[in-house]
Amino acid sequence: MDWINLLLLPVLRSVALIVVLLTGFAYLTWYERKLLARFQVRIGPNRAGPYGLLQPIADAVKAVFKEEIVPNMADKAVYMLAPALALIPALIIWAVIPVAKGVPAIADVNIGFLWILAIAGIESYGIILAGWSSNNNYSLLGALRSSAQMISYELPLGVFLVSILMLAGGFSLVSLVETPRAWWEWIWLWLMFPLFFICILAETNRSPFDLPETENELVAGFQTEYGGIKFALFFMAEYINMITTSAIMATLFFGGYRLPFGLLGDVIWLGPFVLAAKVIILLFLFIWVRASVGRPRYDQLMQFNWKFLLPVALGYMIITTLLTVFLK
Amino acid sequence: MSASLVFFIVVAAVSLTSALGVVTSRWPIHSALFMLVNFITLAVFYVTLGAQFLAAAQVIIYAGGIVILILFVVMLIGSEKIGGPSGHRLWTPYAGVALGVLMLATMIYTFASSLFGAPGTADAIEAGHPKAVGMTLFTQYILPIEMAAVLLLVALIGALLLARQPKAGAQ
Amino acid sequence: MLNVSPRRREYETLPSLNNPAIPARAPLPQGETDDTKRIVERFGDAVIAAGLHNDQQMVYIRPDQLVDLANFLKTEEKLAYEALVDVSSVDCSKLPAGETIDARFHTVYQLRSYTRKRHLTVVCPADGGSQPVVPSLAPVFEGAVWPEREVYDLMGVGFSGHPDLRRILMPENWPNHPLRKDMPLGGEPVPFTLTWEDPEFETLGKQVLPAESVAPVLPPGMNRERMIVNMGPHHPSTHGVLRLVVELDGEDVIHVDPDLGYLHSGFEKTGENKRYKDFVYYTDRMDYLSAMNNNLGYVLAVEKLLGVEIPERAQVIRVIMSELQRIASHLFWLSTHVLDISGTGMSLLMYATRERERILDLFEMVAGARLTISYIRIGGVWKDLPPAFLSHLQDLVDLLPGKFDEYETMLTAGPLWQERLEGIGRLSREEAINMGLTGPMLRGSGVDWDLRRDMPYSGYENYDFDVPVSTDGDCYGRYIIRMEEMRQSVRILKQAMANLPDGLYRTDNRKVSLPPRAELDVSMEALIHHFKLMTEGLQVPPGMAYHGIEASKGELGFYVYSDGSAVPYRLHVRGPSFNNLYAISKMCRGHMLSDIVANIGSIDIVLGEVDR
Repeated sequence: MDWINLLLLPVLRSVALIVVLLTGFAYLTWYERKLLARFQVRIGPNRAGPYGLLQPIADAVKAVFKEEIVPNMADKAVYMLAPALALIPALIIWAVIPVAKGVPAIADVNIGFLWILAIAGIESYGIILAGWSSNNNYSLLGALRSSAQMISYELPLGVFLVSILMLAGGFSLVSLVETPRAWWEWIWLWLMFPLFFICILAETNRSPFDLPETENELVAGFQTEYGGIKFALFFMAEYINMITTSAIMATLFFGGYRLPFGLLGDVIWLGPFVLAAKVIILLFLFIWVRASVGRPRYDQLMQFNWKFLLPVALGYMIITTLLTVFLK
Repeated sequence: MSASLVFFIVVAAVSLTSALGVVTSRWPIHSALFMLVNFITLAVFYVTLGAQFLAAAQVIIYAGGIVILILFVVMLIGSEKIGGPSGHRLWTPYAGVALGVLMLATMIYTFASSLFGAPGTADAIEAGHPKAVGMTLFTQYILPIEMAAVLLLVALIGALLLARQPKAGAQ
Repeated sequence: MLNVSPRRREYETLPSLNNPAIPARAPLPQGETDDTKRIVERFGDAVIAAGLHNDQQMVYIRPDQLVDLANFLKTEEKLAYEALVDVSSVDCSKLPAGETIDARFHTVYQLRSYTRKRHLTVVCPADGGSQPVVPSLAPVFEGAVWPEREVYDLMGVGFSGHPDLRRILMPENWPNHPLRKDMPLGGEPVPFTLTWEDPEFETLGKQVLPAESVAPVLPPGMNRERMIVNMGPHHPSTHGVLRLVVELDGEDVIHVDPDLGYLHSGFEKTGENKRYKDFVYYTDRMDYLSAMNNNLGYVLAVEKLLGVEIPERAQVIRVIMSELQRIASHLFWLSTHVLDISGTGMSLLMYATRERERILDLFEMVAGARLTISYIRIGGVWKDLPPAFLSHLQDLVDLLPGKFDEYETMLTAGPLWQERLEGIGRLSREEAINMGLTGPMLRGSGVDWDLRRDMPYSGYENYDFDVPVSTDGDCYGRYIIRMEEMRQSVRILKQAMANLPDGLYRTDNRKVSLPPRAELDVSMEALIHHFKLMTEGLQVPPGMAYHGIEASKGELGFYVYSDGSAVPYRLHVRGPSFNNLYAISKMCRGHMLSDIVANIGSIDIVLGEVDR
């Protein structure tokens, strides 16, 4: 029993999770391309399979069979390691997210929030190392931008998380979802959602904060020298990060796997589907923003963070403290 | 052999190997990466010991902050391959050995009681939980915490002053 | 083992048909104007000739007085020629010796007074035989830097006192100066000589060169200690094969040096070996986003030499086409500019190209082609407008203003767009004039100048439109100007449609334009004209002409030197992109890396025209 509990079950759960996430990634690319096409008066992929549904598979096959090219002067070990380092945090952050009533994805640890912060902290490794090891000026610039951006936006993100934490009164995500909230708590949370979403956009390097890979300035930023499957891994990391952060946002702000007003609260198997629906809606938001919001310049991005977002986050935290102390 | 022991041995092996890698690798970047692995295995140890808060703090501060800073420095200042012993000053190996011995002695002195004493109690394990850590830090050790906070603030302002470019008009 | 292309076969006519008066030099200017009178008074004997030639003010000046003349023209208040628009050169070695001038090379300067709305051509016969040297005008007019480099590169005329006399279009180690008349066409060794059979072919592209083996070549004034980034020639937002060598300090730009010539295709040399009517098709390929404007510019220069009257209907059709083309070009500029700067680009790119597509449909309707149209021909236009054209144009004209408003709500109203553009690439009024910038770049810096209004051609004097001017001098100002220009173009289109007269769409001067097919069956004379035009081409009287039009990107000028034959003796293109791109170094300095992209977009270049 020891073995089964310690190894087999987590492994099985992990494999299931990874399969779900990779499929989700594949169809997220399709979803994004279709949606962007609609935003931009185009049609989008429609050749491979009905409605282009086989397009992700075709893309995967293409990526796998592309020629492997390693730049001559690159640090090969680090160069090969970087895509994996980018992907791993995106996957393991899922461990603490509850997917159904009383069922966390992997484990219900009492440091759920800290886990998210910790993993967010090491997400930038893949990008930094990719940029450095490619031995390319564009890559290096992209890496520097990305790490500065991710580290800076982690601060307001962390402060916002702490605020939620104080409202919730515990580190566990499972109990966060399970515990009912007062109506003013919901409203207070949702007030912060747009700002939190901005931080998330910056953390995931998504447009309009995709400065590390701005194709218009840095060609492809940190991934300039990556092709084939190695590029696909970066791509995967970005999109799985989108799914992951959407799941986190759904959990923190929109009740995770629960339907509103406790509807059908006893049907456990409904949980993952409810969560998936919320994630898809949030992903739509990501794509919508990409299609319509312009990209700021690098220094404007940093100014926005340090001069606006961080003070607002701190103020929010102070008010939350007062609310928690006096109203709960 | 229980599964947790096997797990411990595997993680300990990784931890030791990466620690060795830090000092033996010729490339500064590789050293930094080995250090990252080492820090993460330490965090794993903390989790197995029930000190989840400590594990998270370890990852946030060391892996998420310090190693990234080291990487930055190496990337920006340059990362040539480190030469053999001939490149060092004569006394550095001896100094290193002496410091190592000193550190080992300190560790043995500190842990001597728990090494030969009774295994950790439930209280001690409970102490690793966030709530317990927070209570201890903000009641018993409030003064050191505040002092550390002020120190960090001073360091922050100092860094700002150093990094700030003089305005074009001044002087 | 050299693959040598065959030598060119000279174009021959029957010996008895050869006109002994061909080739002939351009006649010297006659008469005088107020300006030339002042110049003659001041410079006396140094002026070889002055007066009017083909209704253009022209001064021939000795090289030792050239800089003084330029200074005089610029500073004298009654002359006030503030801007040097173009520098070109002529190699006269295939022309008969002149009576008063026997220099082999002439440099030709086009000067412009924005306040007095005058144009002046200065010709300077160079000293020094086949290694000529002329004093540089770069210290007087900064706008001379690049055109003089171009003349040095292509014609081999040295400029003494030039701050940065490097080759600009051809490779640094190229042995020849291609525009010289003794430069053979064909016959050069082709550098890529490997074939499938060669054993070296196997290893081609697989050698790994150690980094040290390639010595880095830095443009003058750059420091290798800093980060040097090559933007281009393959870069997503350099709008083609432009290469910018950028010196960076962190993300701050210290220095930018453009490297041109990756798309140099020798349009000028080609033009000197094509008959006049055949070069129209080549002009399409220069600024491929505004082919109609290129057609028009070239055709007007040739017509100036021919002195031919263009029928009223053809003029109006030309105006319609060139305004449509301006809108199309600006739409494409807008979409790519937005694409360069912000992530919304892809959306706006699709919206703006959707409207541009409507314009291209109209072009397809009149000419059968969408991009390289060649619709405007010498003497008029190719064919009359099809019957359905006007109603479709009406639909478009009704549709466009709403669409412009839509784009503006996406951009002008949003804070990010303004943040990204305001204060970027600021150029003062003096800088803009001194650098010889034209078009929206000039108007963006507060110079109220539009060739359509101030030196009207093709009947633009009959239209009522405003010239938008911005005093900001930054990218945002230029953006606002281009948006407004599109609205004004729509206004012109409305007036043109209302006033489209009936009549000929092409001149009936049979020395210039072909007789209609039906006439050939009944008229011997028509048959002869047809035969002469198709075999020899139209012959242009000896002379020179510069004609500038307000193309979408700025002043597009064609300088044509005719020796009386059916082939231009010298054809020079003054491309707006080329001259405006000179400003990039000044615009980028002190800004950030991202702003380079904004500046490139704001200049609005097409590399086909920069490199020509």
